[in-house]
Amino acid sequence: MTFELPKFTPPDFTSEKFANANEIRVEEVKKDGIAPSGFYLTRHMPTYYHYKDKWILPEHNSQNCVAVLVDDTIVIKELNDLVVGDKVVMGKETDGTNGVVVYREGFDESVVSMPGRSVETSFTEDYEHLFELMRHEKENGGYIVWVLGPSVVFDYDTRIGLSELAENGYVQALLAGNAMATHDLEGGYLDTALGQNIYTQVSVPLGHYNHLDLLNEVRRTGSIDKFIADGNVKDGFIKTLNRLDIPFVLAGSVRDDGPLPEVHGNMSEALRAIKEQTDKATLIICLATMLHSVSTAELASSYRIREDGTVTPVFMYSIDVTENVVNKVAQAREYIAVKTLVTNVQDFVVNVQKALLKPVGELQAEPVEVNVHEYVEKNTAKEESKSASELKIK
Amino acid sequence: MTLEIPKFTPPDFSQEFFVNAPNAKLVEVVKDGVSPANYHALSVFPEYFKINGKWVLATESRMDTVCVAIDEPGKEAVDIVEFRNLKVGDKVVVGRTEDGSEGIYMYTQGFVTEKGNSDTFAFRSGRSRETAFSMDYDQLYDILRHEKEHNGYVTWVIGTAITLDPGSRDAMARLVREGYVDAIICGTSFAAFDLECATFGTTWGQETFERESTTLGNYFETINMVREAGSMKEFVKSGKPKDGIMKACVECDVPVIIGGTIRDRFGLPETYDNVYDAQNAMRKHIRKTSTVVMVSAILFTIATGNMTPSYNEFDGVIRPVYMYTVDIQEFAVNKLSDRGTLTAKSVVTNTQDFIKNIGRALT
Repeated sequence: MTFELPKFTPPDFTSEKFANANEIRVEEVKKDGIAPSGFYLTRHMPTYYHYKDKWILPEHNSQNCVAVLVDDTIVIKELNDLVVGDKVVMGKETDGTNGVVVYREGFDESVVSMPGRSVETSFTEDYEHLFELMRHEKENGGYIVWVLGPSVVFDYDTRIGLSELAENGYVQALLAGNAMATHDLEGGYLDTALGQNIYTQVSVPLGHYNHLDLLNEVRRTGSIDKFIADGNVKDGFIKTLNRLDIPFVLAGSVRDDGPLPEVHGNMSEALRAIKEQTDKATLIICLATMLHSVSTAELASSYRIREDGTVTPVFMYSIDVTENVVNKVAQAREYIAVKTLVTNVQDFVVNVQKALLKPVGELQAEPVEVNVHEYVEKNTAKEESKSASELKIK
Repeated sequence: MTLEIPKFTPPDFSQEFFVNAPNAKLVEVVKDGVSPANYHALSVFPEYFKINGKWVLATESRMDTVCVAIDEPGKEAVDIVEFRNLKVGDKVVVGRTEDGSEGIYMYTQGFVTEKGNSDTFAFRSGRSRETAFSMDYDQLYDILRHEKEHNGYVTWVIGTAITLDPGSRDAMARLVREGYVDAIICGTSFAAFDLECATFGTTWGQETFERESTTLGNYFETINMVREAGSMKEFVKSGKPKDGIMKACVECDVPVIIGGTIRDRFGLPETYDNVYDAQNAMRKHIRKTSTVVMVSAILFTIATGNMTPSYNEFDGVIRPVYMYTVDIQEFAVNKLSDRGTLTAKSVVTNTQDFIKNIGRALT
């Protein structure tokens, strides 16, 4: 079975609703960062704007922004980024009376999910869908953005799993905070996360100094890049991203120690850098961070216009052990193209890694070419040597 | 019941062990924001540093930071500084022992009474929704009354939940007006939802808040109006907000520190866009705080918890800093209750009920 992305079907513009609609009305911004009173606040759902007898679907969408008319097209802009002279679309209605139509109906029914998922929900189908989606994105030039909390780098297998997924083309960008990068680099520098060995769980003497030492040493060096280049980091997800030139955006928070030199302290700058990534995203996977997951869910466009002009939903997967977190994300995405799983993210990552990267699955596709005995033997041998080296306690 | 604040007994520095201990070793900072290696990191407990033969207690301390010493004879003092705020030439205490052998002494027995509360400094075991909280409430009422009467400094760290319900919103505003609040630390949405309600009579666009919705028309209109006015103070003066917590704060001159987060896409004029500026502003208040109450704001609670010492000096007296964390999630309160501090208490409940209870008890 070949996987097909659910499509978004544009409306019939000859229908009464569109045919009778007015054109948009705009007003100019008089003061930077302040919208004209009565501005139109954007929705998460795809929205068409009627201007010069044409219906415009903006390249990217985002909720709680303003629609700005730029050279006969519509650009979705953060309220915060408004500058004097910007032409802001006005009005509250979304039924066409002020040239704005929100069109949720275009989404295929298959992408609508139901609220209220819990730890007991059966998730196998969602996993299968994710595996197919990830393979599809990898093969079709997709852009998979991962949003990660620190807990993914506190565990040995999870840290390796993420790195292998990156090495195999399943990671195109990382969005995270100071702690996630700090503890991953701490693991590569001193084998611990917050002073505890990431495999044996043994707390090392004076281990509470480790993350502070790591931060201090990276700050002394001046950048993560230089710190890695100097040979201080043995392994880890950040090192893998650095080697593969995969971009990562680190956003600061009021609870940061350090911070690492690459962390954005100004939230407006962090959001701009994050948006640069989410604008390219075709799939977003959020693990174990409420702040970053909800922020990304609120920010990222609900659709992408692909090269051939088709419109496809941007799927978002939210995985957390706390139901409240995944429910907030699902709600922010208005239950369209959002899948939530309630689990420990360590299990999630290891499951995804095993499903996508173990060669056994591929075997069934081309049975003729492979000598099964040889294959299994070789593969087992490889497994053994790998697990032996993995189990070695540093 | 009157509150008895535990008395602090300093160590006997005339003991031979203290007399013979070396001075703390100091190394100068050579690059702004970077510490010399082998620095000593602070804990939440009282710590003394020997400078020019004198044992100096770190006041206004903060864990996971370093100690900058002033060793000019006769002016011996220490300042507890975050790594990022270190400046070239600062003299940082180095050494990773705490037993005095390197001139650094951590002292956990200062508040132990003669009655022998052997478990005073024991790490608190986890608390859950089934813990008996009546005593904690009574103690908190006593503490808040005491702080009000004795010129204490009570800082509240508050999450959005409190402004989403009229009962808790009113209770909080009354606590501000009646002098139980000296500073508020919060995020943009706490202040903006309060002002939305005060201006439009809605929360999240709804007359009675039931569920989150994605588009926040009145909320963003409110922020836009405050930005147009230039500040919350000017906005309150305009008479548009009719009631609420922010109005009470402006009228009672209670400072509100609003820290930015990556969920803030459109901040109030008072929102710190830079989170490290926000941290500095928060710590300015925490340095003088004698009691901190933190309700349903996990990010700000942990940030504040990390910068609050278990003790501080007020008018020359060393006393514990009381800390309360309240959240519906056990995970959230237990993140701080294993700090092993004398005075950290946590309550697991709906924080709207918590605030309503405090309001009914005190105002």
